[in-house]
Amino acid sequence: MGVAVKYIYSFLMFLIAFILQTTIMNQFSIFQMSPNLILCLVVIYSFLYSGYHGVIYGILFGLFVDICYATIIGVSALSNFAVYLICIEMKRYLNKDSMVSVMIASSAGTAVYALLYWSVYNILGYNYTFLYMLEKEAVLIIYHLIITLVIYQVVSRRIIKHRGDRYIYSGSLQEARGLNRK
Amino acid sequence: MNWLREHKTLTVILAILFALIIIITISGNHIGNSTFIGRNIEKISVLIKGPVSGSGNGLKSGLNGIIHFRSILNENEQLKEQISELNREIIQARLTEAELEELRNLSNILGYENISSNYNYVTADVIGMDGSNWFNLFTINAGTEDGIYKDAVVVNGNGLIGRVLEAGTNWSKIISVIDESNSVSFKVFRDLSLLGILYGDGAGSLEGYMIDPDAALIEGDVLITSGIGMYPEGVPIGKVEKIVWNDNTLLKTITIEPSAYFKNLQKVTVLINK
Repeated sequence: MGVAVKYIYSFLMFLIAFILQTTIMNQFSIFQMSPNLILCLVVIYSFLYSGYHGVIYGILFGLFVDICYATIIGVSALSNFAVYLICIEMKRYLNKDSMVSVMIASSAGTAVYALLYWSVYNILGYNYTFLYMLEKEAVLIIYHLIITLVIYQVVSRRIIKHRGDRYIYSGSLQEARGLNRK
Repeated sequence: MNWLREHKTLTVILAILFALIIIITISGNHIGNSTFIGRNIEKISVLIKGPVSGSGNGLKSGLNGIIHFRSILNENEQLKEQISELNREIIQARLTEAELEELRNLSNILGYENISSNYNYVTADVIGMDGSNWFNLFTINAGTEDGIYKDAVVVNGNGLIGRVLEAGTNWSKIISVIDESNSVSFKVFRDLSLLGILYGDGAGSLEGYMIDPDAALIEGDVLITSGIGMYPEGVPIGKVEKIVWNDNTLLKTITIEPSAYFKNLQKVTVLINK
């Protein structure tokens, strides 16, 4: 798959997430909470894939969400950007092929998003309490974990060890090629 | 410039952060006033989301129908009884209609205002809601071409919803009363002389206080808008959930359970000044 096709494919994924998040998902909320599908995609694309899909579309669709449904434009985009930076950093320390790593990335991403979102709105004069934010996030972290794992199962390409394999390399393909050259 | 070339990644990150902070600052100072680009994005998104939202509502209703089949049957029987009771009430109401007309004429002569005579109604579908879980902002499929304007009051069958934050040609953005930074004046339905002020409590609900600290308020009292400010008189807001005496402010503070459920709105009515 070419790079341009990959970007078109991920754009469509984000577009579908944006439409579902703001229409159908609200009808199926649990404990009055509906999942932030765009945030889940930012985590998946930033943590599992190379390239800038997560950050470009995270900011773009964050702005769309803010334009359509928020009083202040840019807060979702900024929060998505922070989530991308956290995921990029975590990628250096966690194994991408482990499901536990994806769960850690999803939880950290949700927590960072909420903390930044709440902080910016409080700085700008909105009076949402810290406890209210924590209550919401406890439910949302579990909700996002489930959704991220479902997406992970659908889109991930994992290494499966064959019984004939003498060893497998768990890093990225580019790194492996670099090692062979040496 | 050399520093920028040597630290490309850091430069890009800082540039994005800087740009987003500028957007947030400008937007924070112009709440409810989208730019030309913003209004067009909203216009296009309404065209896409309208049918999706409609099918989502249909899907939910269908699933509810299958899951709650027995309770719907019982509800149907109850509704039939209610219909026959309402028919009897209609006959009674017709008898008093003439009397009411006379009273209306009298109230107009005396200069009193009422909602029905001063407002037109525009009913619209909710086609999209804020997915952030923080705010109860939503978009409806009616706008300036239907007569909707900024700050028009929005209600539904249960009571007060909020006001129009921004209106486009075929869409309007609604902010709920629990997200409002402005206060709303209310009175108690049981005793219309009891007045108070309410506001969002910062935890997704409403709280307020009574202007008269000795007001005889009881839990379960229904609160309605007082007509002071932008909201017209007589719209139900909610029920008193808890009453607490605040020693610091020397006021009777109350927690209010809103009459409208903001997370599952499908239709709302906008009151338009005649």
